[in-house]
Amino acid sequence: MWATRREWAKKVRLLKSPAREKLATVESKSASICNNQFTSISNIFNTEASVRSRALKEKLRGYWKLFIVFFRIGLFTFGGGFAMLPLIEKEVVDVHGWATREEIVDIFALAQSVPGAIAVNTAVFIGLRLYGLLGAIAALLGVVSPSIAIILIIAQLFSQFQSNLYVARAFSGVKAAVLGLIAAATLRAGRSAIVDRFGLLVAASALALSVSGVIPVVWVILLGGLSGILYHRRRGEEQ
Amino acid sequence: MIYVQLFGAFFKIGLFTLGGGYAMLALIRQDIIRYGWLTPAEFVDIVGIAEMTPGPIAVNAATFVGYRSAGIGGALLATSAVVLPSLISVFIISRVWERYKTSQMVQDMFKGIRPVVVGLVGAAAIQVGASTLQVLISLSHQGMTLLLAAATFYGVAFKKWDPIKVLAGCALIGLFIF
Repeated sequence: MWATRREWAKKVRLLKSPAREKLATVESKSASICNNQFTSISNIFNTEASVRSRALKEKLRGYWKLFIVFFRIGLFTFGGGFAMLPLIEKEVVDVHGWATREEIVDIFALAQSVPGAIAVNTAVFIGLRLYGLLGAIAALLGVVSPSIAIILIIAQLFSQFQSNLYVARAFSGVKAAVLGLIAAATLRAGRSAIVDRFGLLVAASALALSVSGVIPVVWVILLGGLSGILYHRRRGEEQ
Repeated sequence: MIYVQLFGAFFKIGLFTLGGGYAMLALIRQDIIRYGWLTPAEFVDIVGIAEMTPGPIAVNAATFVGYRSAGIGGALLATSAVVLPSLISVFIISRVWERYKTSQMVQDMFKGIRPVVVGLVGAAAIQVGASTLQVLISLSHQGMTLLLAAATFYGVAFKKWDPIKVLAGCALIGLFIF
């Protein structure tokens, strides 16, 4: 479009300009056309580049946010993954809205039923969901970096760390909090996951099976899924 | 060669870590002792460290063993190996989940699985509670622990306290009362 407009302007100016100035005008014209052409092309590139760079910036900010949120989660994951379920739920559902309350219970269930630590699996799951594979890697790096850094430091000054009285005392406090956090996780998951008597029965059986340790956890989860399908199908047929 | 062994062993450990890290401690122990990476006494230490420091126990053990046997490179390699199965398996299962989560059968299945998760987390609370109280000898320490745990439970479950602040606060209180 710029080409036709410029040609039109050229014609107008050629008509206006006296004959003796024609040559000069045409010359300066062509120079300015070249100029215009150049700036407009660079403008096109500029806008495209700026859109692309803005999208990139947005994405990078997303990766960074994932990294930071899961870094915080990794930093405070004591005593095996369960204690940080309330923390993950708070960050992912309440603060950032990356999943709904029902979805997060499903994600926890899936994270437990595939190989890997629950904190790591949940991080990968959320990252993958938001920004694909790179998001998954960002969240994964976030959740494991604190462990790596702290273990590398401790590996250097191992004996001093272990026999330090203050470390042991602070850790006794942390252990107590971990216990409370896991209990809170049970209650919070129960509120959204147990909706009827069937759910209560399944939860109680899973608890008994898991505490007694008679069958592996994966089997408990699979049995729960199977009983859900059978129970609800039968109830659907009755209605 | 040590790198190949480290990678292989921790990839396997990551692959078989199902439903919480404590289940695969036996697996880690077996490989560590077979390859002679740590002595049995050092293994007990690493379990203690893994419990005392943040992070999944499998990740902590991988970093520690990798560092002890092959330096920083070994630490990073073993840690990558232990999380790689997570990346792969979650990648697959999340694709399946996002695709089928609206199907009636998958929804019914999750109606059964969600209560199971509640039961499993409750079981973890009982097991962690038992092992925490077991190692405390004096009655007053047990009482203090239960009190802190109850306060944490109440605050986080009903008052929306920030779990991070609660953990930090309990560490601080622990410095004075234990």
